[in-house]
Amino acid sequence: MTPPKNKTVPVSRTGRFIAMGMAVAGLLPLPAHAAVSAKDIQVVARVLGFTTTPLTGNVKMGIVYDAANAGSAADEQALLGILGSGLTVGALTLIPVPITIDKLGSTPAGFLFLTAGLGAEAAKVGSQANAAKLLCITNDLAATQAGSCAVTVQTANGVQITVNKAAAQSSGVAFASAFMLMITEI
Amino acid sequence: MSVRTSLGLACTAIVSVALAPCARAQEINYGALSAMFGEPVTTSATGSPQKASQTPANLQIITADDIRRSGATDIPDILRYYAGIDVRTEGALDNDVSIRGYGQPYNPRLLVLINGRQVYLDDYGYTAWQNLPVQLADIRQIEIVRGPASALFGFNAASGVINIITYDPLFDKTNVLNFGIGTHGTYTGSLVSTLNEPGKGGITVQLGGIKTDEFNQSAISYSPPPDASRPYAGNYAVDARFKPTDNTEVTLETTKSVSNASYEGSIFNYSTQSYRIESYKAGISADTQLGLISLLGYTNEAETTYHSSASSTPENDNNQIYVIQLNDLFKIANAHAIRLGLEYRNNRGSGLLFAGTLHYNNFAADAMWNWQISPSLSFTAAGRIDHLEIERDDPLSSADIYTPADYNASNFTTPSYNVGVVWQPTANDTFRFLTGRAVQAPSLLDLGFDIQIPEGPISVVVAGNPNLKPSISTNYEIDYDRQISPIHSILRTAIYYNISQDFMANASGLPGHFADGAYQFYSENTGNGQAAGGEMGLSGSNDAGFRWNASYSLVSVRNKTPFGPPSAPANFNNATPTSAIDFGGGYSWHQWETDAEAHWQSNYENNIYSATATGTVYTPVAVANYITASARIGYTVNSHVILAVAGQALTQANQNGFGAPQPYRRVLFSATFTY
Repeated sequence: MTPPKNKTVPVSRTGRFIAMGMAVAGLLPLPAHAAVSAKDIQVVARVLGFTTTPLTGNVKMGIVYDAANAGSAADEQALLGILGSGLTVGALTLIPVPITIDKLGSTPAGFLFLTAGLGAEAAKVGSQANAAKLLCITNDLAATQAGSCAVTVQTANGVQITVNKAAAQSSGVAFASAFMLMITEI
Repeated sequence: MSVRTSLGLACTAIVSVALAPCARAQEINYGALSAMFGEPVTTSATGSPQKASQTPANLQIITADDIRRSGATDIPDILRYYAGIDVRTEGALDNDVSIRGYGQPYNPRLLVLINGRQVYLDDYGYTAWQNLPVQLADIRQIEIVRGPASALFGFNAASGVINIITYDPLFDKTNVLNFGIGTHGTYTGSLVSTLNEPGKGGITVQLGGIKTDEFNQSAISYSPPPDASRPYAGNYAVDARFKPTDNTEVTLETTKSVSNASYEGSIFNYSTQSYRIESYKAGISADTQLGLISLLGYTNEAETTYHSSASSTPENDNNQIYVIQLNDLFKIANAHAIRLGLEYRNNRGSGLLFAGTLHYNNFAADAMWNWQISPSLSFTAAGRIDHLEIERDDPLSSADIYTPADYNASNFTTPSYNVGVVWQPTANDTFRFLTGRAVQAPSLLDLGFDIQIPEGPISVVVAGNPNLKPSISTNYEIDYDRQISPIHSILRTAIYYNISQDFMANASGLPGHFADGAYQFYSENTGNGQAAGGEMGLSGSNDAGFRWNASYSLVSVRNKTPFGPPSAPANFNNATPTSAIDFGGGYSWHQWETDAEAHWQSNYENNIYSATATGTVYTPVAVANYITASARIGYTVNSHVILAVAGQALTQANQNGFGAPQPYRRVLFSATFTY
């Protein structure tokens, strides 16, 4: 089976060329997070299948963003474009539900996706995930390192999944052993 | 307590433990893990699931797409076009596969498994490829491990491992019907059907077979029975997996295969062999607070009947193996994966060739430690120790110098290990630094062959040797892989140096001596060897539908044996071509799919066997360098039907030398229905 073509946020050809050149030369430090991509979301959907109670069917993906934060808002828009009215991956269909960070808890969701670059504000998402026993996934490694989110998914240079085990436990989420053996645990 | 009773009690105990309530779920779901990481996932390097690109082993994965596009009807014809692999095709259904040198009929140095169950046969120590109970349409991936891998897989992973992974009926639905008709009276058919409720339980039934013309055997000194001109092979497998609780998975499997075809034996002799092989497997895995615990038990029962010119009556042997494996795989301190294992195996040979029954018990303990030092650096160390004890109660031939007491006093204990460092300094570059020590156990017939033939006033005794030492293969290797994104390709390179000690050969292939009124032939350790070489290959594909591959393989073998010419089974110096080049490409366009592969190899030396009044004579035959090729064109009629035409051995090259049977060009038309 051929996976669907991945959509990515457009980057100019010149920009990609320069970045590629710098990366090959080892001059470009890896960013803490890159713009969210369709590939990220494919992987996010797969991650949901490795929880102790795998999510299936229609799953509301709570996209947590801050309209006042340009990066976060851009991620939210990119996600809405990727997901459309619903994106089916394997046994589940992700339904986007935008949630502004100041209205956390007001909208039900199957899990939370934390947009990047919220800094200290991300801690609110961690608290909400703990309170509502929801899995939080992000593409912002710093948020997972800080314990604000349980899982980071990054696909820019191969698939990298990072799990903050303590954050996952606090939100009542556990993963299969086979999954934990293949990811980076912090 | 009998072996079967022990197996049952052990299973009951573990099932009781595993069914205890636990908080976690899930076993190793290859499909979901591969889909998530965007590349094949394997457990063949460490026993722990890993991305194929990060394994501490020289591992290559052949995917289901690769298999379909090959147009092949058997696995050796797929493996033929991969670097470091040498395939000898000696009959229409007879192939021998070796990795990195030491090519030989009945190659004992390559361990072959299906879903972790050994399909390697321990009687002679080889794999009867035509009897593998698996349909190509049900294979998720074929995993090739180049280099010793005994620390994980145990005996006989001396030069490498082929681990065949099928689709999982617990998660995957495979419903495929395939028919083929081709030249040389070739008929093939297979059916794979799955009934499942994904994630809860499923069962896959598969069956298939092939019938075709045998190669022209007029040049060899062998008079095959009449039915040998139309060899056939057929098999079925039933694989059921279900989850009695959220955290446990149970596997039950049974297989059977039969075949009748001409084969070249370990001493280059031809005979027509009839196989009947059955297997039964039961396993349970549980995701517990103590890790992923798995218990696997299986038994293989193989009955082989040999119709040879040398004997007016068919000879037969039986081989039964009983295996129990207990493993625990867990993670500690975030970055350390540990696997602990115990294994017991009882392996027995009986029948005319054994003059009774011989068996051995092997007890093994193993451990693996994988330390992810940083995201770009990992260290893996795995070790295993085996203790083997031979038992024989039946009397031996009167002229045999060994007695049952000699066998019962015989045992050995030997370690094996694999150590690897994987360093990925960039997202595109991977270095592997590997070393390993593997053990090739004496085959049951190396140990316990026992035939005494009266020749007038004297006798000829052909017998095993309970004092054989296991052969040890030690390997040192550096690999470098580079993703070359601008051309959508990956470059894979490897260099290695291998030392092999104490090769073994069975009695019928070695010189004998006259003593005590009898000509006596015994199995022996036959010397040591070194192999040095490497592989370099580039493969890739692009979104335009093109795919390509090219590789070069080099292996230089030097071996010393106390047995001078003509003891061919003990001489590997020219047994494998020094150089080989594989190259191919393909293109997908709308409903069309076209692919072609070619394999060139330098010269090597084959041997022609003949039996004379004074013993076995081997005539060396130089086989000149040759090129062989295969191709396939497929047309997807709709989502349910694919029509294809494929050709194998298209160049009709002389692959085995003058006086030996040669592969013929075969063209096969096939229709595949997916439902």
